[in-house]
Amino acid sequence: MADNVAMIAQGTFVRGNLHGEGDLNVAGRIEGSIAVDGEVELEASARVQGDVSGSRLVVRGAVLGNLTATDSITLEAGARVVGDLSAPTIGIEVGGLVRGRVETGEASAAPAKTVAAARSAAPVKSAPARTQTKARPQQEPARQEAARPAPEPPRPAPEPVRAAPPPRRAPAPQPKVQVRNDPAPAPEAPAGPPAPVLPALKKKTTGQLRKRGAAR
Amino acid sequence: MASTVIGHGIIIEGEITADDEVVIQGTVRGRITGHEAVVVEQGAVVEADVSAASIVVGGHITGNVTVHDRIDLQTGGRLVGDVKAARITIADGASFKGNVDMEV
Repeated sequence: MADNVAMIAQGTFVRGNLHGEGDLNVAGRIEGSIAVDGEVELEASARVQGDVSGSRLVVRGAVLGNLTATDSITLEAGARVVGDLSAPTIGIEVGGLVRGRVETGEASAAPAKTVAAARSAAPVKSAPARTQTKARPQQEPARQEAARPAPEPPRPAPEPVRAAPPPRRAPAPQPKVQVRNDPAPAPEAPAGPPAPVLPALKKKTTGQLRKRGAAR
Repeated sequence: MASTVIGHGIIIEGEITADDEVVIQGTVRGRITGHEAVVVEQGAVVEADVSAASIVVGGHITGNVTVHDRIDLQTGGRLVGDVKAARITIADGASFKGNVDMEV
């Protein structure tokens, strides 16, 4: 027997976290996470409720949790995994059951990075889309004001700096306003939450109940 | 039957409940409840209350120990905690600090 092989036999139940060096062979029940730097073999009678991480994972039992390996994950027939798999190499044999995300390639660091990059890219991407579509109908001051906080690249569409209706009386876009796009718009420096969008109603509009089918 | 072996570099923080023999070579913190023998080998560190049918102490145990049958402290073994056992042997060179209750 190798010096560092740890073995959780079938009748054993461990509630708690397992970590350390060496290989691990699990045939019992574990409620908690496993984090070793060697091989982890989950036998057919293994029931693990928690995340498992190691260099090489071979699964033949049931796992409720994520599997992360730095080398490879192999799910043999009889394996039942509910959780994500993440390893450079993943193998699922015929009969292995998985419910979760399977991701090969760079593990651990990449998912966090891509998620963070996606989150930071999303608002930047949506802001230019907003300015381009909303700049054309010039009757919505609120939306343009909301889009202004992130308008670094100069926009081809007109983008008036002030939100009040009077300055927009000029039909053509004002070149001065476009040049002043780059620095932060000074008059709107204390930008609070955007004003609520009000529908364009005529002045004497009053609310009236109208029955269906009745003449207008 | 197969026995549970907690290898040398393994650290378990939590409870262990076993039907079969448990051999501890690593570190366990928490509680151990074994229905058969619990063997703490030399170099092992157990900071837990242990309850078993029989216990062999070759390493360090810090915690209260309840044994149904016998407990053996071997040379180099160290037990700090109370013992409740029917039979006990303390070898020459073993360290022990605690109360012993032999259910007299």
